[in-house]
Amino acid sequence: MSLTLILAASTALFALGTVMFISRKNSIAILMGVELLMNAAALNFMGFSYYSPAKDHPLDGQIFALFIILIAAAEAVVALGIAIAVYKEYAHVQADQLNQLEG
Amino acid sequence: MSHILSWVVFLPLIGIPLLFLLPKDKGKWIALGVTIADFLIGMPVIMGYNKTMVGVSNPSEMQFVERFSWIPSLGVEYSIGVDGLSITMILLTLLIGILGVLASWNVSQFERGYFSMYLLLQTAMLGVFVALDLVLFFIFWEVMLFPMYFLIGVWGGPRRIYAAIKFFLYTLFGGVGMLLAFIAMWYYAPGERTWDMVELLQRVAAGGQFDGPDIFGVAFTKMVFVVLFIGFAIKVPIFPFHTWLPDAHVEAPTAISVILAGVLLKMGTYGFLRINFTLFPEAFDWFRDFLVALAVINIVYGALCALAQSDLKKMVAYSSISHMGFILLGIAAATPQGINGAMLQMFNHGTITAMLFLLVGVVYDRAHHRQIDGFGGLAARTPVFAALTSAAFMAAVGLPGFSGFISELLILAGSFKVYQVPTIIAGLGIIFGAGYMLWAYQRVFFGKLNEKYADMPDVNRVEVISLLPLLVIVVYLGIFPNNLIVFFEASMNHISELLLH
Amino acid sequence: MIESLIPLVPILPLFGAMVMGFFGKRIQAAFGENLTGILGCTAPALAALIAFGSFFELISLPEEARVFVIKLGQWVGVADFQVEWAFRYDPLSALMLMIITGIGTLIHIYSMGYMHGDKSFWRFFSYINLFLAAMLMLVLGDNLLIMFLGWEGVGLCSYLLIGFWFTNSDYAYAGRKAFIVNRIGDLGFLTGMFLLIYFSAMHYDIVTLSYGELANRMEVLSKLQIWGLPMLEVTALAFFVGAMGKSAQIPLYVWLPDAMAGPTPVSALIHAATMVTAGVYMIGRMYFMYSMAPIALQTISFVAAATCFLSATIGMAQYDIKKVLAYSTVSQLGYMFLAMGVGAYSAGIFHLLTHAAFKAALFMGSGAIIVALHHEQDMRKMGGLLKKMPVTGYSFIAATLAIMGFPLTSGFFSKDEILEKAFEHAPALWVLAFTAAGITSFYMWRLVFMTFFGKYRGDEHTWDHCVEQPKRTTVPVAILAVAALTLGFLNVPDFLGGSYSFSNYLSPVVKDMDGHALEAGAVLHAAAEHAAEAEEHGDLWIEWALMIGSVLWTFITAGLAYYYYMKAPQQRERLMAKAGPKRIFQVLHDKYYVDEFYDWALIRPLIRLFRFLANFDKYVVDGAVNLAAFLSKGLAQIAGFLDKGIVDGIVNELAWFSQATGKGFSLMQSGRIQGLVASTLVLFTAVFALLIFVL
Repeated sequence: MSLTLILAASTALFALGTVMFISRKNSIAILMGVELLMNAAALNFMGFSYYSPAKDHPLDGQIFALFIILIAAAEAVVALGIAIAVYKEYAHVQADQLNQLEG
Repeated sequence: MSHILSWVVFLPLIGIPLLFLLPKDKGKWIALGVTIADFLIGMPVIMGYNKTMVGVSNPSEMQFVERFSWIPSLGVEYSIGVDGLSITMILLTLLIGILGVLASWNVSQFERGYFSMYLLLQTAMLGVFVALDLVLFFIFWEVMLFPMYFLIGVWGGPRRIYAAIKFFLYTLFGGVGMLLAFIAMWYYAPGERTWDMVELLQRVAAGGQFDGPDIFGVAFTKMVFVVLFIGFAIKVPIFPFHTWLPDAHVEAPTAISVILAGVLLKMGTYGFLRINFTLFPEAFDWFRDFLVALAVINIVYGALCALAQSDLKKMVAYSSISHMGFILLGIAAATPQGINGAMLQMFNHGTITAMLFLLVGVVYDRAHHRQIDGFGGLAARTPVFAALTSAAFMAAVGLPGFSGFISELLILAGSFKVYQVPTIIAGLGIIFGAGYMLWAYQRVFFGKLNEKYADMPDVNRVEVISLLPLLVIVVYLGIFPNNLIVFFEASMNHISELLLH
Repeated sequence: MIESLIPLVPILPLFGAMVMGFFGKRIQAAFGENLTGILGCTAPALAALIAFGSFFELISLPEEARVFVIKLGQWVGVADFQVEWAFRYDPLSALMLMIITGIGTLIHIYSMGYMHGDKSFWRFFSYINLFLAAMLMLVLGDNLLIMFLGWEGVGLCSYLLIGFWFTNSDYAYAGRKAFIVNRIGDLGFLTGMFLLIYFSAMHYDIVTLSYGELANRMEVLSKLQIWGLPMLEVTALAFFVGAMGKSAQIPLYVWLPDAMAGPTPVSALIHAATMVTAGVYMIGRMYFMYSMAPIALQTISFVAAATCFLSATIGMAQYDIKKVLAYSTVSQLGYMFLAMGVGAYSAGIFHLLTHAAFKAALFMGSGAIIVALHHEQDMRKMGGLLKKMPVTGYSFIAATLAIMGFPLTSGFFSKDEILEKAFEHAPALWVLAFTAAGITSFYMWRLVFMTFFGKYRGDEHTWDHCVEQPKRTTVPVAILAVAALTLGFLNVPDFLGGSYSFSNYLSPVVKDMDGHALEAGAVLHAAAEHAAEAEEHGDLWIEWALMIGSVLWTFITAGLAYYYYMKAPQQRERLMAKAGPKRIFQVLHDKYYVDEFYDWALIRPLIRLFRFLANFDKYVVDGAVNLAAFLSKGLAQIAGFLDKGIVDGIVNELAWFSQATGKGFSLMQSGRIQGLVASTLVLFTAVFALLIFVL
């Protein structure tokens, strides 16, 4: 395995996440896209850490990945809470119809 | 109690929260209690007042002085104190304060609001008479406007809003000029800048000068004098600034008329004596003839206008204008008799006119109108009321034996020394005075009893209690005027010297 | 004794007035009229007792010691102006005290009868006691200010008493007229007082108004000028204006006849015997000044003679019994002033005394008639009353004899002396006074014949009920009638074998105040010299001739009255039918239209003036204020418009601009998150592309 391969997988994951984020209408699905984006980023961190020439801090990337997992969990909690609140208000979670912020 | 004078001034203010803490329907009793307590606290000041000390232009001879720095950056001080000029007015204010509460006994609407305004007014009036700092004086002066506006505007007669606004704007107009003049006096004070009026007067008496620039080509002192004069003249009121007075009186509730005529008007003449004339003796000299002319116009014109009135209260208001003219005449003459007479007249007019307004209030309470021609023959129905009224009217006419005679005599005797012919013309005012008083009395009390008032009740106990002390004072001072004169004679003689150089 | 008792004389009636005023109503309700009346009489009676007692003590003293100045304390004191509460008891005030308290007490007793049945009995006694107090103050005061206090006090009481029956507005009007006319006089009095104060302040350390001190200062005053005139004369005339008001002299006499609206005891006490003589008393008191003011004296004598004559003529043509007596009073007051004016000081005061007696008797008599006839005052409805009311009638006739100057009655001595002095002074004055004496006799007898003699001309009912009044009414009248007949013997002139005892009694008053006033006074000096000369040359025949002449003249006019009103009334009617006499009578009856003239010349213009001023005040002065308010309001509206249109407009334009821009931008804000993210992505891609490929 080489760094390039890992980066390619990460890029594919990121692209999938982006497409999912932009194209899906359901907020939950959009949330899943966001998770994909985060995982792509975590994969990048770990890849770079593994192949890094500097060996005095060998676990930096892994620690970041752990953080990202934590944040993703927390973010999912908040986002799902918002989704529930939105559902209570509008009886749906369709993102394209939630345009209250229109100027 | 070293701060006794502050207590006297601010005690009514302390009464205001009391009004709202204690039961709602006890408002008048609380106000009565507070004003009586104030009077009692004031007694040590009056009893302990040293009658031989001159005050006026001697800071060391002011009594009961309290002095704290207040706005250090501008040199403004909280400084109060009394001399012969103030002490008489304090006595009058404390006295009228109590009687005013009695005259408000029938107020039912927003009772607590009414009495809180009333007590605030009391503090403001007392403050004006004790303030020795120009800024403090001005603040009390303007604070007085606020309760007065509401007292007339809320508890007044049908045209109360018009009258209240007229009163407010008129006085404010004078007040603004006064403030400018005060600032100018501070800025161009002889020597170090100060707001202390006694200090300023001492310097002026020692030959100091306000050396400000000419304003619109008029000498500084003359300009300031005129601006101050207008400010105070509005309050007195002096012709032609007098027209707010009849309106304010007609619309104001009885007690407020009593306060207005009894005390507020005196603030103007007090200002003449304390600030306006004494601080600018040269300008005073310059305008003296003019002042005498104004005084005579006030006397005769006020009396003639009073003759033409059909509203009893308006007639009394114009008679007030006429009598206030005597005070200006006495001051303008500036002889010892004139000035002492003017001071005595300030007190006597306070008591006599208070009596007149109380009596008009009695009529109004019963008949709900004040048209002189709308009555007739009341003497048969209400003998006690008729007797009290006749005594008050005779006192107002200036019959010897009543206090008004002594003060008018002193004023006329004093002014005769300097202005013979104007004095005799002013004497005509006395004749017209007899005319309108007797004419009105006759139309109200004599003749056939008007059937409408066939069962009009006579004066009740509260009314008698509020009237009798005044009558006793008026008669007492008619027989022993010197018991009051001694309070201010030293100060007044000194003012006379200052004005005549 | 005198020093401690004299202050009580005015204080007692004052106390009486207060008791009556405060408790009278209850007393009357509880104890009835009699006790109220007796209580009301107590104070004057006690005062009279003191007055007479003190008088006898006074005359027992040597002449020089007959002046007491009783100082009670300070009244007003400001700088150099010092006035004390002080009384002066000397022969003049002693005499006045006796007149006032004596007649006052009699009239109080008389009033108990006259006011019988009036529910305000107590009020009447309160007022009349107060009047006595004020009048006694007036005469007792040692300085002008106390005199002025009394002067105004009697005016007030007169006002109250004239309008006593206030439910009649005419009466109330008469009271007001009296008060205001008196106020005009008071201005004169005040001016005189101010002149004295002014003069004293200029030349002395202490300003005083007390007579003793003033007398010593007259020498200096007489040399001063004011307004280009001699100051002493101006002062004297100013005081005389005050006297004109109080003592009803031309031109201020108009109030007195109207004052008859008051109850008759009031007319007797106030408007005949005491108050109206205050002016004469004042000039007597200030004689130290008048004796040095020849011009003022001259003026007084001519005004007095004119008053005396004119009011006597008016008296001839009145039908109201009290009006006749009122004009007679004015006329008699003229005699007193005439005496003062020609330097017959003691004669004037003497006439004051005798007039007080006979005029009070006349008024009280007329009051008795009025009550007996159920308040009828018109003499045309009287007649033949002597039979019904003998005591009143004979008393009245006695008093009439006195006023006409029947030989050896009091009026004879007093009036005769005045006429004689007037003749010595200026024959023109004598002619007026002499004519008036005849007219007096005519109208008085006309009155007597119309009321007491002939046939009764009223209605039957009244006649049947007409009876003599009770003793409390008639006895005082009778006492005064006796006094009117006999008082004259107090001052019998020396050419009739008397010794001028009254004049001698009074002479210390003038001398004592200022030892040389009599000598310095040019007028008096000349008169005295003239008299002395006349006596030296034995020119007594002039005095005799004058006396006999006036007696004859009064007899003739009395005879005329008898002829026209008693013997041959048809002659009178024939005379009156002629145009000329009829017109004269009408003019006299309408009092020369003086009231109408005053109304036209003074009162109406004054009413116009104050109406005009009131409107001026309302529309011009207050109008200016309201105009200022209106203008500022208008200005405020213009400013408001400008503010809205221009100043605020600019602000609004700016706001509109930013709003529009905002709107434009807000179009981009779809509110869709995905849109935002997409555009962010595009933007980032573009920026990266730019960074990588271009730069």
